[in-house]
Amino acid sequence: MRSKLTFWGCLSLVALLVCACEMNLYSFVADDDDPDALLEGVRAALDERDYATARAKINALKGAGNDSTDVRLLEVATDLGESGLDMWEILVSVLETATGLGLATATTANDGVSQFFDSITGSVLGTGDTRTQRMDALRNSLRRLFDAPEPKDSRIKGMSCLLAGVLAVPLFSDMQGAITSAADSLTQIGSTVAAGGDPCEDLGEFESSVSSAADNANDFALVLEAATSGCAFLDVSKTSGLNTVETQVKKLTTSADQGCSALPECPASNPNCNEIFPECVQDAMGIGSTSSNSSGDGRISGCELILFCRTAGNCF
Amino acid sequence: MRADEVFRLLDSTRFAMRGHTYVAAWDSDEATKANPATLAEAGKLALQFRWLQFDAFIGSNAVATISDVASAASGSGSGLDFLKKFGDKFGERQFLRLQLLPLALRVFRFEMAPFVTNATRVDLHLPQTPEFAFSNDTIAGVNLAYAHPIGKEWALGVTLRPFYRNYMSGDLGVADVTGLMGATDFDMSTFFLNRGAMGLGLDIGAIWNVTKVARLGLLVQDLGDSGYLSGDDPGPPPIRQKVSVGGLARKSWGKWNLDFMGDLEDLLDKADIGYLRHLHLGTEFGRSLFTRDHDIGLALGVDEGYIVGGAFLDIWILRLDIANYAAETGYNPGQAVDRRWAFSMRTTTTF
Repeated sequence: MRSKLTFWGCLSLVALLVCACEMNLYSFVADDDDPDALLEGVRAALDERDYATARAKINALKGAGNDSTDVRLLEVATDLGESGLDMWEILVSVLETATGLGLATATTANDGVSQFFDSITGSVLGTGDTRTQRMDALRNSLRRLFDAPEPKDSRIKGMSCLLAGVLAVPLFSDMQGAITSAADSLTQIGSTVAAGGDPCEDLGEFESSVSSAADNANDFALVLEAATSGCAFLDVSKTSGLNTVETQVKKLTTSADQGCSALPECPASNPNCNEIFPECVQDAMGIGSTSSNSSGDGRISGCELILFCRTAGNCF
Repeated sequence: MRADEVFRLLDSTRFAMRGHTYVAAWDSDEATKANPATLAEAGKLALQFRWLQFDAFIGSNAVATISDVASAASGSGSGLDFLKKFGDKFGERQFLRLQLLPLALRVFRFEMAPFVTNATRVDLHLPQTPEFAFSNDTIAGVNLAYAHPIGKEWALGVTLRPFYRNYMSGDLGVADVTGLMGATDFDMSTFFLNRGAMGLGLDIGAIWNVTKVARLGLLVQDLGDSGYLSGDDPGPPPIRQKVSVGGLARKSWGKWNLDFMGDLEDLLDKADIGYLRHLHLGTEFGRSLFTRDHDIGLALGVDEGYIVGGAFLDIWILRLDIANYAAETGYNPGQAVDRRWAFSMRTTTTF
């Protein structure tokens, strides 16, 4: 009887000790500053969506001079996670709207890619400050990837292609907004010129549009860098079978990359078309400046966007 | 990254419950999973048939996942509902291992033990930029072991292990998936591996009985890294050589014994996981009822720093072992624990 009690008592003690005990007796002597341990710690923190810990460990890694493809990819994951841009949530959100968009019935791989990008709507990126934060995260992540120790690593390239595609979708919308705003300002400037007024008196709104267009152009440069690096699904060198993002990038590049060193010639039907570009406006846009873009240089500037994309259907 | 759990070709519930200590263990029906030199302690055992041994090792995370899969298979909820459940599984290894050892034969100091083992691991990491990895490792073979005593204190043993291994693994990130969507021509072998080959392994073990109740053991498993003789080229990942030392001391009270064990596995750290994780400690309290081994008992251990334990019972026609143990899936001890249950059932006839 006594030995039975002792046996069951010991069994209960073992069960209690084992099942209730998550602690590790060796952890206090483990080297937490070991680079491999820090890397694994970042992954574990990101799995738990603990971004403060992940960021602290990444800073510890980089502070000790440990920068690698793995560190950069984890840093990108931290950037995205901190802004709330969680690819898993995006994937679930995309699949939830998939039936409506026909993603499940995509007949070609390109249909699938197009529909994936089409699914990245305002609800994924959010609005207001949230949207700004997430666009910043995408932008910063792309810069980190392009600046990685091994930029040609397939994982770096694959991730930069994906993020460039995700960035491109809201970027095209922002570009159109900046161009429309600039066009409205130019229309007002034209009216002022026609009425004999001083078009340079109040350029505040126009300069703001120019600045937005310039920022958009800088973001587009990131997209273009990815699209010309050999992405499978973001490749502007293709001549057929382009998805929606590739089509848009190609159209924009072809139509807008015409240089900003001088104003374009006016057509015979509208010989005074450049009246809306007095000198002050040209200065604000950077037309003819030493840093202005040339035609066919593979880059788009804010100036080129405003000069060549104001006509509906020309660039978008 | 080098974080990975310790590889074991054949695992044991009994070893798991006592911190995976086995190098200097007493002779048991699982000698060929441990140190073959213990076969030299055959004693009165002339002939033994082990008709069947079934071992199962399942991670606590996998239990919930299997339940989710069963629920999805039964049609309750949509595919999307099933996928959403995986949102909670990031960083939780899904692990299942099954082992079958049929028709093993022991004749004095010789043993032949066929086996088949299958271990599956699934990992989902980084919800921000999801990564999916899995491996499925099937090994079928036979352990042919023999031991010989040298004097009164020493014993040497050897296990020859011809086997066939099929290893499948996959590693896919979200950027890889979107890349596949746009590519017209891609090579899946970039992301998935399926390799099979015949191999041969050799274990050599030694036991030094310092006293009647204390002993030291030395074990070299998979001498020279078990290689592959034929099959796919390149073949599955090599099974690395593991050199381990261990000790055991016994304290007895009548028929009850308390064994203290300690092993330092992989002295050369070929697994490259740091020496702390190679230190294993265990204790077992039990007694013999019918066999040369403990037939009833409790065990407690420290396995890679985690407290583990279990119990076992031999009811003559059947032997049952149950353990709760832990595997480190991070890099440092304590970084990422996968708590697991192990269950073993064995039926033997001994003459």
